[in-house]
Amino acid sequence: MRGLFQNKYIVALLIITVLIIVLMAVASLGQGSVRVLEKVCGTVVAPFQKAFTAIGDWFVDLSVYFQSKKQLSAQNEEYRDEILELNIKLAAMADLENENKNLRDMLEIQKNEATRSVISAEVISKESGPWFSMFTIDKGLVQGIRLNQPVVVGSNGLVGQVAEVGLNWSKVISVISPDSAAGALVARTRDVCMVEGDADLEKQGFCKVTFIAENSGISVGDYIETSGIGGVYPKGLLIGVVKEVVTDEEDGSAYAILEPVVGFDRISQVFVLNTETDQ
Amino acid sequence: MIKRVLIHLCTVVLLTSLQTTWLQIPPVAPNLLLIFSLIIALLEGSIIGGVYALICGVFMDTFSGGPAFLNTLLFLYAAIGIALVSNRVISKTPTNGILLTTAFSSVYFLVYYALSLLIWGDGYSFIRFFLMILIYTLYSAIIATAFFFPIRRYVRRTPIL
Repeated sequence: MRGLFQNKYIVALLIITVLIIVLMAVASLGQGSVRVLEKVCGTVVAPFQKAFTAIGDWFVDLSVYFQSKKQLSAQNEEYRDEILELNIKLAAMADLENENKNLRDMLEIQKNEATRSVISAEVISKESGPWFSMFTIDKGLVQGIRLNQPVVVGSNGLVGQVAEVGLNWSKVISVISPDSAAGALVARTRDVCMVEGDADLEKQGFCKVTFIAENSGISVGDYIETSGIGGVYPKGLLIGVVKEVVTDEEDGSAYAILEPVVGFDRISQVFVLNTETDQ
Repeated sequence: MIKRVLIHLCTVVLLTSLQTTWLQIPPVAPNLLLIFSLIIALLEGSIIGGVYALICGVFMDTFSGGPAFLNTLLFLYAAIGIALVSNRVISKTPTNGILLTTAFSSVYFLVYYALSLLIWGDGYSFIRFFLMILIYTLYSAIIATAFFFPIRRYVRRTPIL
């Protein structure tokens, strides 16, 4: 034991150990003087820590920047796919909406015209030009289409009548065609008149209201509907709205320019009214 | 001599900064200062190693948040221990040096947590503690390998005594 203490290294180690233990004890008692050494160390290291933290933060920011860029790019790609998908859905929904509207219209027609049967048909071709003077539908004799049957869109918007019938197709002449004429009346005044196609007005998508009584109070904005006279068109089908009333100064006769309620330029599905069942 | 002491002091300060900023890896972080002082003790002997261990221990204690001077004491004994073992028990090859550094580092971890348990009552479940020491040993092995050769080259080029 005595030999052990003669070794100066061991003695030094023991002294240091005791010293450290004393320091530990003093520090644990909360003596501020012992903490001076730690404070010095802290003061020396702090600027370096700050520098390291700044560098670390810079790298973190850099990685976040690249990560966010990558994320944004991926997100962008994701959104593009989503938009494409949504557009497809939107188109499908528009089709469904259209179909729904058509079916509702068909139902409405069937309610209004309880005694008539309705044949739904798709427009498969039309004459060249912006307006449907004459067009072909995909239903014919086989489906029960007959000559002169009235053709409508929506619940009761008059399109025209069947002018030619094939086995599985039919040609429809529209109300704006110069070859077309229909007995009509002014919805507001109940004055009887005639709606005819006009070669000049047809190009503009309009037709003519003729045989207007002299004392008729027809005016712009009046609705014109079928009168049922003539037997081709049933009563109450809406033809159009008066756009302009023209009076001949010489003989005092008047005619009106009619804007059909049917949008002929975007017509795609029509309903053929089977008036034969009435009879 | 002064230049070398200054360089070593700067190294200690840089390692402390690195230890307390970038290496805050939960649940355990590799102990750069301990590994540095162990390698110095391994290469320079117990006296110089002991002095470095004291300095590194004080720096470690400043930021460890544990009981004051506990690291100082443990660093000191670890440095003296590794110097004695490398001088008397095993040959001084780089592999032995790295393995010895890793082993002493792991022993330090065990002792430190045993003392923490005694002093603070901070305990972990066996599996958690096992995983922690496994990760710590792995870290130590990597850091010891990275530190050993540059320090040995520097020590050989500029002997302190």
